[in-house]
Amino acid sequence: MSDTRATEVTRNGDAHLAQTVLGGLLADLEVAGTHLELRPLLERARTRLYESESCLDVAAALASLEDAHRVLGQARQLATEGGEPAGELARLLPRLEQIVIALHDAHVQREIARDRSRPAPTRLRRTFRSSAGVPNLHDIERRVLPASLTQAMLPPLDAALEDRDDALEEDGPSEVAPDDDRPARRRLPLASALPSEALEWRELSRLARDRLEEIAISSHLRRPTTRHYWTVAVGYEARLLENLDALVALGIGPFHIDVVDSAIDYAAEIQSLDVGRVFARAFVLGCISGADAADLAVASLSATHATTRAALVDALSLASNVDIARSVRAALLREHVPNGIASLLEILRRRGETDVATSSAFVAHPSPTVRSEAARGLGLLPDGSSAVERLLEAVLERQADSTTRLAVAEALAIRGSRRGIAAAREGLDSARDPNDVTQWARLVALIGDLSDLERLVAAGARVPVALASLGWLGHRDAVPHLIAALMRERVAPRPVGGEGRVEEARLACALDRILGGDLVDTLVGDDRLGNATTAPTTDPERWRSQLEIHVRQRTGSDEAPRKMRFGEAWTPRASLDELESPSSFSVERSGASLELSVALGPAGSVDTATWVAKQELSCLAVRQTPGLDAHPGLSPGKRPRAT
Amino acid sequence: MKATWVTRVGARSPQGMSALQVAMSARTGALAPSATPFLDQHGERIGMSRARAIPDEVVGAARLIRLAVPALAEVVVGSEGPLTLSLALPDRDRPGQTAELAGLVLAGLAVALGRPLDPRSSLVRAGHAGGALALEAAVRLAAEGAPNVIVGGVDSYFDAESLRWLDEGDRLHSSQADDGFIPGEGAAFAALGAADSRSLPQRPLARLIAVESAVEPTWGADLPNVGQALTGVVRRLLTAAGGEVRWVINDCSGEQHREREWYRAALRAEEMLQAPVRTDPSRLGGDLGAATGLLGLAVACTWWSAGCAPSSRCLVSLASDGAERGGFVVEEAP
Repeated sequence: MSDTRATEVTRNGDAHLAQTVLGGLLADLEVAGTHLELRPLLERARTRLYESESCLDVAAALASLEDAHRVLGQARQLATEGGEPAGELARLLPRLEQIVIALHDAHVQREIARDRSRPAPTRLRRTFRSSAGVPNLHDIERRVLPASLTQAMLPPLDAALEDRDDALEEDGPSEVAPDDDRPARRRLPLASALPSEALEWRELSRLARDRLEEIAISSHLRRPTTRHYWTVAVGYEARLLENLDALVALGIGPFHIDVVDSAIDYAAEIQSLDVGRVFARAFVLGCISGADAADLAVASLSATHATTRAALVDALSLASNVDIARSVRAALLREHVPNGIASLLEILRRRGETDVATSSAFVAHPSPTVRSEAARGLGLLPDGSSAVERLLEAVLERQADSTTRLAVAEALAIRGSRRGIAAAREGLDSARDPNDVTQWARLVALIGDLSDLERLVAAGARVPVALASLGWLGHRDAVPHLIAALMRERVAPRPVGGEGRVEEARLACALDRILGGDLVDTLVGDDRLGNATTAPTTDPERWRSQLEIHVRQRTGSDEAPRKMRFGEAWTPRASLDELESPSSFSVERSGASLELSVALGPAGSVDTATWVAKQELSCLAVRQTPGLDAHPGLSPGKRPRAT
Repeated sequence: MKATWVTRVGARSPQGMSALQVAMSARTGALAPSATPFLDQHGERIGMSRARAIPDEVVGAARLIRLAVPALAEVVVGSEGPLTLSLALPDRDRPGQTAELAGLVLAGLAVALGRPLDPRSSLVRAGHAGGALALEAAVRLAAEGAPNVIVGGVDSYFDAESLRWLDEGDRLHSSQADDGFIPGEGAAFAALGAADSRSLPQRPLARLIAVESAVEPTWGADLPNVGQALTGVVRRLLTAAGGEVRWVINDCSGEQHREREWYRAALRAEEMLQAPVRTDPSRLGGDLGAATGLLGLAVACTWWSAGCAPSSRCLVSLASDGAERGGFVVEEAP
C-alpha cells in the first residue's frame, strides 16, 4: 500500500478506502511478524468497517463506523505508548494516523449527521434466488469475516457449540469416531449424549460437506477435455450451481450452519494440495455478498501454492460477488510475487473488469508473466483511443522476450493495429525454440493473411508440429504441404491397437479446416474416449481427391484465392458458427474466438473459459455485430473491422 | 367458491431442516442412504435415508414429532391462536404403527409448538395417498372458515417392525433385491388460505387448482391392477387444470408396480400430459411414505419462489400400498 493511497483516504474521507488501507497495513504486519499487540485492535476496526457496509440498518452501520474510529484511536494510543515508535512501526504509524483522520473527515461526519436526521430505514435482505446458468449472488446472515484465512479458521467451530460439546465430553459420555470414513477433526461424543442443537449442527454440516464435495468435483468436470465438446460443461455447471445453492440454503433459516466456516474447514481438512477444495472455498466465498467475503476470497490467492493457483483464479473469475474486482485491485497494490500479480490481472480480465489504469501500471513490470497478462487485458479493453495501442507498441519496442511479445502482438491485432501482425511475423521468423515456433505460427495463422503461407511452410519445415497451423490460415495452396506431411507421418511407427497418431490427427484436422467435405474415419479404440465417433480422415489420397474437386470447381473463376474454412470462403461468421456449434472442441473454439476478435475488435471477443450461459449470451451479442459477412481481403489492414 | 392458496410451506427430510434446504437439496438429486443398525434377511445392514440429527433410540411417535416440529414451526410463524391441522400419518396397516400413535403425535405437536389445536383437526392414515386425502380435508376446513388451516404429512420407516415387514416382502432396495425402494423419513406442512389472494395476510406461494382421490377397485380382489383409480384421478386433475401441466411429482420410489401403475395412468392421459418433467422420490430423500405428497408440494412452492421450477404448474400423483389413490394440481401464485 502506497502512502499516496493513504493520502487519498484522508482527502476523500471514505470508509471503504480506509478499509483497504487498513487491510494493507494488517497484511504488512503479518509479513513483518511485529507489533502483535496492535493486531486485535486493527482487526476489530476492520470488522467494524465491514459491518458498516453490510449492516441492514443505517443507524447500526453508522454506529459501527464510529466504533471503528474509536478502536483505531486506541490502536494509535497503544502504538505511541513508551515514546517514539521505531522500525516497522515508525513506517506504519503515519498510515494509521491517516486512517484515523480519514474517519474524522468532514465527509463521513456529514453523512452521519445527514442520516441521523432521517428515520433509520432498513434494507431488506434479498430473498433466496437459485442460480441459473451463472451463480446467483447470495445474501445471507453471517458473521463478518476477518481479513485472512489464518484468522478465519480460528475458532474452527462455533465457539459456543464447541464449549458445550467439550463440557459434555468432560462429563464422561463414551466417545466414538464418527460413523463414516471421513477424517474427523475431533472425536465426537455419542449422538444420544449431544443436545439436539449439536446434532442438528452435525447433520447440516454433513450435508454441507457433501455439497462442497460436489462443488469441488464439478469444478474439474466443467472443463471439457480435448476430446469432449464444449457443451458437455452445461450439465456439470448446472450441478455445480445446484450444489452451491443447496449449500447456501443450509446457511438460511432457524436451523442453519455457517456455510462460510464449512467451506473454509473443508479446504483445510487435508494437508495435501487439493485444487477442488481450494476452488470450492474461493467460489463459495465469492458467491456470497459482502466486501469482507470478497476480500477473504481474494486474500487466499496470495498464500496459495502454485499448484492450486489456477483453481483459485478460476473460482474468482467465475464467482458472482461484485466486490471481487475492487478487492483484486486492492490486492494488486500489496502483491509483490509476479505469479500472484499475473493471477490477479487474469481475474480482472476474465471477469471483464480490466481497466486502463491497472493494466497500464503493470504492462512494464519486470516479470514477463505479469507484462503479458497486463497486455492481454489491454487488448480487450473497449476503449477505442489510440493511447492503448501506443502503450502496447512501446512495450513491443522495449521487451524482447517471446512471452510478452506474443501477448502484445495478439492484443495489438485485436485492437486493429498492424503492428500486431508485423510483430507476429518477426517473432515467427526469429523463433528458434520449437515451442516458440509453434506458438508464433499459430498466432500468425490466426491473425495473418494468405501472404503468410510461405512463412508458415518454412516454420513447418523447422518444426513439423507447427505445420498444422496452416489449417487456420486457410490458404488452398497449403493443402499440398499438409498432404505431403500426412504421407510422411503415415509411414512413422504406429501405436498398437489401431488408434490414430496425434500428429496425423492434427494434420487431418488442418486439411478439414481448409477443404471440409466431411471426409472422416470412424474412431476406434481409445480414440472413442470422447464425444466424437468420427474424425477427419488421415488418408492423404482422399484429401488429394477433395483438393482436385475443389480446384475443378474454381477453374475458370477469376476470383482471387481466399481464406477457406471447411470448404467455403471464410468470413467472421464462420468463426462465430464454430464458437456456437454444440459439437465444437475447446481448443478450436479459442482459435475461433481470437479470429473473431481480430475481425471485429474487442467487442467480438468471447471468453471460452467462462460459464456456457455467458458464452451463449456473448455469441448472441456478436451475432448482432455488423461486419460478420464482410470479405476478409487479402492483405494486412484489409481485414474487416466493424466500427 | 373461493380459491385455495398455499401461503407457507415447511419441510424436514434427511436432506435439510427447512423447505428451502430440502428443496434446494432435491434439485441436486443428492440421496445419501446410510446403514441402519437393522439387518435384513441376508444378514446385510439395511440402508435408509434418515435424519441424522435424530438419535436411533428415538422411534415411533417421538420420532415423528421430532421430524414434524421444524417443518410445522416454519409454517405457523406469524400466526396466532389455535391451529387446525389435517395430518397424514403412516399407514395404519403398517406393522409397528400403534393405535395410540396418532393421538400421541397430535398432542406432541401441540405441546412442542405451544399452540392449541382446533377440535376439527383431523388425521389420515393411508400411506402415500394420505397427503392428497389430508389436503382434501384441509380444503374443506379452510372453506368452512377454520382458523390457521395447516395440512401436513409425516412418516418414518425407521423402526424395526416396519423395516422387517418391508424386508420380508422383498421391498427394500438392496444388493439382493432390485425391485425395491430406499426407505426414508420426513415431514412437510403447508398453510392454506381460502380467500381472494389480495385479502390474504401475505403473498401466497401457490394456488391449489384441484385435489382428487379415489379407491382402486381391484385392491384386495384377485384382479390385476391396471391403474383404474389413478387414471381417473390424473384425468380429473388434468381436466380441472385445462390440460396444461408439464411437471409431475410422483411417488415412484423404485418399485416396479408403482412405476407400472403410473405409466398406465399417464399413458391414458397422454393427450393432456405430454412429455412432462418428472421429479421422483429419489430426489426428495427416498420413499417418504405419508409425507411424500406434502413434501412434493413444499418443493414445488420453494422452487417457484427460488425461480428454478421446470414449469408453473405441478401435478402430484400418489398411490398407497392400500386401495387409496390421490393427487393434486397446484400452480405458481401470480
